[in-house]
Amino acid sequence: MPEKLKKMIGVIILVCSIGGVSCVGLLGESVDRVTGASNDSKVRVVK
Amino acid sequence: MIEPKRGGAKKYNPDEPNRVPQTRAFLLYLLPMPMLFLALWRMLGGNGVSAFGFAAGFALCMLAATLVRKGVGIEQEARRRKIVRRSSTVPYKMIGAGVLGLAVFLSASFGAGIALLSSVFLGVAAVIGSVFVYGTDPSRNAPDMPAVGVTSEEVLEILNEADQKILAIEAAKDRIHNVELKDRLKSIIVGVREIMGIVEDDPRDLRRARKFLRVYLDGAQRVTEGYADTHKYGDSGELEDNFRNVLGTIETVIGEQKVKLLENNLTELDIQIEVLQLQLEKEGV
Repeated sequence: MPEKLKKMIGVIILVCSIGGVSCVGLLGESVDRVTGASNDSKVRVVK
Repeated sequence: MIEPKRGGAKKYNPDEPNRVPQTRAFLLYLLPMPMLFLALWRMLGGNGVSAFGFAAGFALCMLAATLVRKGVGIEQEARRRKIVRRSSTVPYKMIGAGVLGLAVFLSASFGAGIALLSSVFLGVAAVIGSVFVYGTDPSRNAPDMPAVGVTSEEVLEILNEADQKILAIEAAKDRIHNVELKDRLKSIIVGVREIMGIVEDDPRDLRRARKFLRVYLDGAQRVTEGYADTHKYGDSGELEDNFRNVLGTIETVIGEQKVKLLENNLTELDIQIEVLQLQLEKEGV
């Protein structure tokens, strides 16, 4: 695999994994705010 | 009229040092920043577990970035210098990638509340991403030099010091307006770089070049800087003559040093040839 392509794929993977976790965290926060649910997902399901 | 197309070859510039593209792992410092914000936000919201997940993830991400950065730095230095530090036997990049994977797993699982299997997948993805972007560590068979009597750290330290002194001499040279003196300083710099090249090729030569690279080069730097500073206040014939004499001495020392290093290599070659001849005679060839 060419070095440049490998680096590009690596950057995409890093952005998706590290950024993805933050995004899920932020989205969870927003959903909780809208629904008024707790931060704990299990409690949210029960509600 | 069609103009002839110029070739893509880059003009050779002997003054330009062998530059290696600088990568400083900024991405790994930048990407986890939202985790810090999330950790604070969750802490204020009273969600301790999530806050801990994001805080631990952020801290480990910073640690991973620092480790990868160190690994990248060592690799770049090795490419520039032909010598690898002994500390490079620690696989910084791989440890960094592992720590990053753990960081992503912790923040995904505890921070964002993502399912265990998905968190593991994200952690593994982060490890793969880090290896793809920053690569793996250089070979563990780094040339250690116990038999030579000097460590690679010592060689690199002296060469880096010499590099700094050369840069100082170059800076002082630019402040001197006399073309003849400038040219002589330029040839002195070339000579010093040649000696450094010989030492890099065979670190055993450091024993003979150490005094030159530490003492003489230091003296040359001080004299050149002193002349450049005094020269600003006006030309003095006596000062210029004295500086010329000093430059002459430095040129002689550089020439002698080169001969000494090359002679020694020739002596070693002679010994090797003699050993080979003896071996051939012994085996009846």
